[in-house]
This record gives sequence, structure tokens and C-alpha cells, in this order.
Amino acid sequence: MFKLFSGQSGSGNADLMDKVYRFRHDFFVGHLKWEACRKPDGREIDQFDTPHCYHVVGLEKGEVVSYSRLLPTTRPHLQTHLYPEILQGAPSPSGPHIYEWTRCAVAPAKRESSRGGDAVSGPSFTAVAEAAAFLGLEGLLVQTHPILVSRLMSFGWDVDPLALPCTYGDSSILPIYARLAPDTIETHRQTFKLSGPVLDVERIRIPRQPVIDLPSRRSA
Amino acid sequence: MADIRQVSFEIIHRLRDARTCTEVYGELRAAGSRFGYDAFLIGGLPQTEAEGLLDCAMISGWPPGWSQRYHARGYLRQDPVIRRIRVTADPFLWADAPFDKADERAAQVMNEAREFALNDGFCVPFHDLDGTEAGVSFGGDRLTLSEDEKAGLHLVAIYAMSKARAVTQARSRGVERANGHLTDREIECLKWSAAGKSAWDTSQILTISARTVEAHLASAARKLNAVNRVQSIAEAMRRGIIT
Repeated sequence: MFKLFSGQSGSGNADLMDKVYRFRHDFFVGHLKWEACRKPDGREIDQFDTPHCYHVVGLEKGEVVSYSRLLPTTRPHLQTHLYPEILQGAPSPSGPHIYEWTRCAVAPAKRESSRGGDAVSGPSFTAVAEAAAFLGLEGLLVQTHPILVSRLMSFGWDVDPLALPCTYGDSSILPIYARLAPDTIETHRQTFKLSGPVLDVERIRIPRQPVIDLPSRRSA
Repeated sequence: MADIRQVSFEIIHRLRDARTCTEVYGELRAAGSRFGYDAFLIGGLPQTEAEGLLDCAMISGWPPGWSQRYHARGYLRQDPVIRRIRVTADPFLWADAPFDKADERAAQVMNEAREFALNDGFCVPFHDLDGTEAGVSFGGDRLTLSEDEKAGLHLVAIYAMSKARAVTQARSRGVERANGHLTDREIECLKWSAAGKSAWDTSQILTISARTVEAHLASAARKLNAVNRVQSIAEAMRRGIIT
């Protein structure tokens, strides 16, 4: 089961958020060795975890098994405020209908069985696409390894490159803008053999922001 | 020198507009003059022992003589570039695909490639969520790439692979839709039926039992969403499965 909730509603759900931040610490510090994110209390929280972000959380028997975070591009986000150099001077799209997809993680234990595609990864990617559609977004900024960019393309995202691939730390990274196409969610479902939505949006309340922007396609 | 980013983005823009394998081939052929490669190949890695290059190639811009020899001699299984694809997620030069000097078969592939003016190369690996691997390889007489050019060619390879997959999948879906997954035997029975032969006549011609012919025709009717033999034949003709 996948849940979408805002940073604001998360503050009223302390137990779950505690699990989320611990899951993030286990994954990004424990598994990926991102030492810069290490926290003494074992909860990976940063300055971008504000009431304005959204969390997409995969849960199994009450435990977090996957996670992604969506940050509004109308506020400081990673591409603008953490590593703008990966854009190599190129402009990056932003606006109320564009969010940045960060902290994507699937519990390593859930991926170990997989040479044939595991039970969590595919649905967790689908949940993010469904969340983006539910929030009325045009697309998501992503910066990730080029191998994963190829996968996003095969899952049905319409991907604009924002710069050439470059080295960040000791890994290759490619910044992209992944746009939702009319068949993006359907392509996910076909790819992962899902019969319907995976995101449980019935039982959550998304605080709607007042719509003040005109329906312009893109604010660069 | 033109800006590599700009050049690469223009190639990608055209690749995204490509509708057929031929158009992807044309774009990669044209891009060769910019990056300095003479030949290229987009392909999956074999999933079974039986598959050779010609089974795995999605779009081939290799010299035909090299493709044929490579396929016939099963070089997919001894090529150090192919082995390297399986163990790395990052692009690499052919020269950096290691092999044991005592491994004569690996050395043989690299040496014979030179006979076709494939001395240097650059390979971009792909690893899918389901564990399958693929690659785009660029080769040439003398291929020297700056770091920027490698990054640009890497991006070009990503879009070429994505488009190659999309057009080959669309093509196979189109074929499946058109012939409705009919088997060769079912099509054969339909042809004889259209020629006025009864199930018994057909059974004699194909030396199978009349019951088997009936079963093939019933199965064909199901697949064609037809309620009887007349409608099956009409539908099969309309789709061009039989003429």
C-alpha cells in the first residue's frame, strides 16, 4: 500500500513520520553511505522537509518499504539550492505544477530477491506517477544515474534532458525534467502488471493550495 | 568547435521525433560525422545460449560482413565488451573492457574487429529493472572522444535506445494485433477452408485428423472473435492473414 501525504499533514502523524525519517536514514546513510546526511538520532531530516513537500510512502504491515519525496520548485529545492552546478549553467523549469522528485528509495531487503523485478520497486515508481497526476502536476525534476533515466523513459515518462550527464561525488548523474504524458500511468501499470491504482488517496486529505496561477504550460 | 551540449540536444530532439527504425538509423549515421564514429549497434544482450548477434541486434549500423561473422562464430559469448556491459552501469571505451591476455577467444574478437576498421569504440550499457541488459556501441577506425563528447554521446545513446525499444515494441505489437496470435497450423487450416475444403479434405491434405482440423478452426475463430467459419475466413482476409 502506498500513501501520499503532505509535509503539513505529516506533522499530525508523528509516528509515521518518525518511521519515514528512520527509513531514510537506514537507506541513505546506512545503505548508500551518504555520510553528509548522518544524524545523531538516526532520523534523516533536512531543510527541504517543510510543510510544502509531499511524501510518497510504501507501507507493508505498518513498516516503511519504499519512499519518495516531492519538493515544490517554487521554493528552494535540490537543483537550485544544493547542487546547481550539475545543470552546468542551463536553465531548469520551475513553477507551481512542477515538483522535484528526491530521496527515492526501496528497502534493500525488498530488492534482494530480484532478478525478475521485485514486488515493491515497480509499484513504488507507479505510486509516484499517480501522486504527480493526483496533485495535478505537469512533471517532475529528477537528478539521478543515467541508467535510471532510461528506466523512467521506458515506464512512460516524457523526459527532457536538462544538461549532459556529469560526475557528482563518485557517481554519474543526469538532471532531467520528466513530464507526465497521457499514457504514463497506464504504461507503468502494463510494465509492472498492475490491475489498478496503487496509491491510496481515498483516506488521506491533501490540503489544497489556493489556485492562483493561470494555466500557463510552463514557467521556465 | 560547436557546443557539444547543443549538438547533442539537437540530435536527441530529432531522435525523439523518429517514428521508425530507419529514422533512428539515419540519425545515428548522421551523428557519426559529428562524434567521429563510423559504425554503431543498438542491441540487447542474449538471455539464452542459443541467441546470436542477429537475434539480439535492434538497430545495426555495423559493417554487414562483421555482423555476419560475429553472429556465425558466436562472438557475443566471447566479446570482452559484452562481458563488461554485464558488470558496469557506466559508459566505457572498448580499450577499457578488460580481458585476460591468455584468453585467445576474447583477443580474437577485438583483433578481427580491426579487419573491419573497428579499432576504437565507446559503449553505453543499459540495465533494466527486470535484470535484462542492453547496450549501444559506437566504433570506428580512430575514435577519440573528449570528456564532453563522451557525455554527449552517452545522452544520444540513451535516447537512441529508448526510441529503438519503442519502435520495435510498436512493430511487434502491430504484427500481433494483425494476425491475432494465430498459429501457422491455424492459418493453414483457414486457407484450405477458404479454398472450399471441408475439415475432412483438409485433414487429408495436412495428414492430421479431422478432429484436429476442427480444433484448429475453432481456436482460430475464438482468436478472431468470429462466431462461425464463414466469419473467421472473412475476418482473416480483412486482416490480411490469408489472401
